[in-house]
Amino acid sequence: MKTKLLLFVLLVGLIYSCKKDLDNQDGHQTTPLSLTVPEGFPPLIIPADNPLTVEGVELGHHLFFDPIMSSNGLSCASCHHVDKSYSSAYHINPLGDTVSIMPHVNLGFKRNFSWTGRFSTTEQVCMGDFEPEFFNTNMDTLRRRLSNSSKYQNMFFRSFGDNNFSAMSDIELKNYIVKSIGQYLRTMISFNSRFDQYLRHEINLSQEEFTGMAIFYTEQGDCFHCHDAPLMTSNMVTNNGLDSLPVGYDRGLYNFTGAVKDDGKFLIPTLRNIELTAPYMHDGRFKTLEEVVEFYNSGVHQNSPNIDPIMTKSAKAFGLMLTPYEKQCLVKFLKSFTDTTFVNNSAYQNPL
Amino acid sequence: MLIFVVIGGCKKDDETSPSTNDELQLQLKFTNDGVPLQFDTIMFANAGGYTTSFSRLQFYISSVQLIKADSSLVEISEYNYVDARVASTQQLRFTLPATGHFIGMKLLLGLDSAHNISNSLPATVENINMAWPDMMGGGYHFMKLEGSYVDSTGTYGYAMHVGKNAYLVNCTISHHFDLNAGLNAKELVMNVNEWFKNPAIYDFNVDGNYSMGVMAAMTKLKNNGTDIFTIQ
Repeated sequence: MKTKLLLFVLLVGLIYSCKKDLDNQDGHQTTPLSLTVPEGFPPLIIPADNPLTVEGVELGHHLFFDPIMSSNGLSCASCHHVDKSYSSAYHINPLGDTVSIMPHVNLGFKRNFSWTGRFSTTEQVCMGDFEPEFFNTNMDTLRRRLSNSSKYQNMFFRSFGDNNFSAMSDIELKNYIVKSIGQYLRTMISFNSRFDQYLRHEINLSQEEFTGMAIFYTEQGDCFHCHDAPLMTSNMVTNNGLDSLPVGYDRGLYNFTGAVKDDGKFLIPTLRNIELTAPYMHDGRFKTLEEVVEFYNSGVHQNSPNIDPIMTKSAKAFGLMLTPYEKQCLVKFLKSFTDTTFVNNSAYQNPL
Repeated sequence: MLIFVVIGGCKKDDETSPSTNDELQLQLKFTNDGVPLQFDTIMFANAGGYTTSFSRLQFYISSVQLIKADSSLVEISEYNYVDARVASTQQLRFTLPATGHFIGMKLLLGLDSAHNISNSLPATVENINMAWPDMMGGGYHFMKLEGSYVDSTGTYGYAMHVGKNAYLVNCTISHHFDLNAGLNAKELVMNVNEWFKNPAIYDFNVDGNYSMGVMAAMTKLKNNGTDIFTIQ
């Protein structure tokens, strides 16, 4: 019953005010959209130059699933699969590195994005999707396609008061697109996993899940320092000891800053829906959660440069020393972060 | 009306009733025995005999009180979160309920028991990341101090975390100063190396390179922490 009530609350939060009170300079009006933040979550981070509007979210939702922006038939959804919590297994970057595509879940609460955390907004990340690595967008073709679409002419005008695509500069058009997609992504809130329900005192965890939680939330496993609820990530950029001597893509943030202190550092990913987002780590080196747990149990390279001090506590010198049963319980607990309500939410899925 | 005028006239000169514009601005500074803190560089002499670096320093300050000459206290704040890597968290501003001459300051490094309750603080990312798990007693980390140290065998990490009501650090700063009408600016300086000395040396290889859940380690840090601050 409580679950239904919470879902209702979220839906109410998604219901927009019918009052169109965002007057824009060109006279068109947009409808502010107010989201209800679940209890215990931090405030949503909304860029001052991109407030949520009903019209903007709708446009972004359509564009996300539409290959109209690409010259290769790809859309955002090609790499962000709904059933995988809007992630995908592998992407090969231009340098030939295997990159795991991060999930889209609770992005509106994040301050840094991408595996190296070097972007501060989703809009910045989306801007990279026009590049040859992803959409290989031909802007003239895109302008023509949008001009020929009465749907997008209407949606762009209602969102931004501008649908004169032929007069838009490349950057103006890209900005409209990434702003609308950014708005859509911020509406995608997960708050109804079994663990969320447990925290709300709606259900009990199984004995195995509870044992896993005790490992997760004590010094025995010490997972909580980087993956505490409700976001299941501290959003820090750090080195978890994957490699004793990182090379190439595995050097992480160092590849962008050139600073030795950043060697081997990556953004700590959320564990929400972790069951759905295999493979794991920035390069997808671990195929299963069991492999991930075994890495933390016995495979951390404590001599890795800049390794997070949390990973080198003296009690972990020989690994976590978890028993097979404890490892099994920890995996069970990790699976309690799966939010099927989120991945099955038709409000986020393909509207085309 | 006459009564109010008479009462007002009885106030002592050194206990003036300030306007709401009277403020104390405490600018946090961080040193290691006088050397300004610099993150991610192994260069600082540690009281335990090691060379150390710092990668994280986050903490709460609560119950800031001014000490009058007669030893009575004037409370000026509830709690503040400070991250030594984030400048915007390092300037604390307090409205002053009293001005005059003071002989010191008391504060808690951490959260008083009224605030050290799980989920009682606003759900900001900072407060969420400072949570102390319920399974380990609940509430919030009072402090996270992390970095690396070098000994004769190699480089290792350390994570000094303090939490739980029993380990709340009571800091007293003896310092004579005057607070006047308007804005008063002072520097509150933390000597990070004080965590590792006086009254007892904290040795990473003996006392442990982490403290969370280790009562003896947190006790030593609590006792060492009483004199980490000075006012300048």
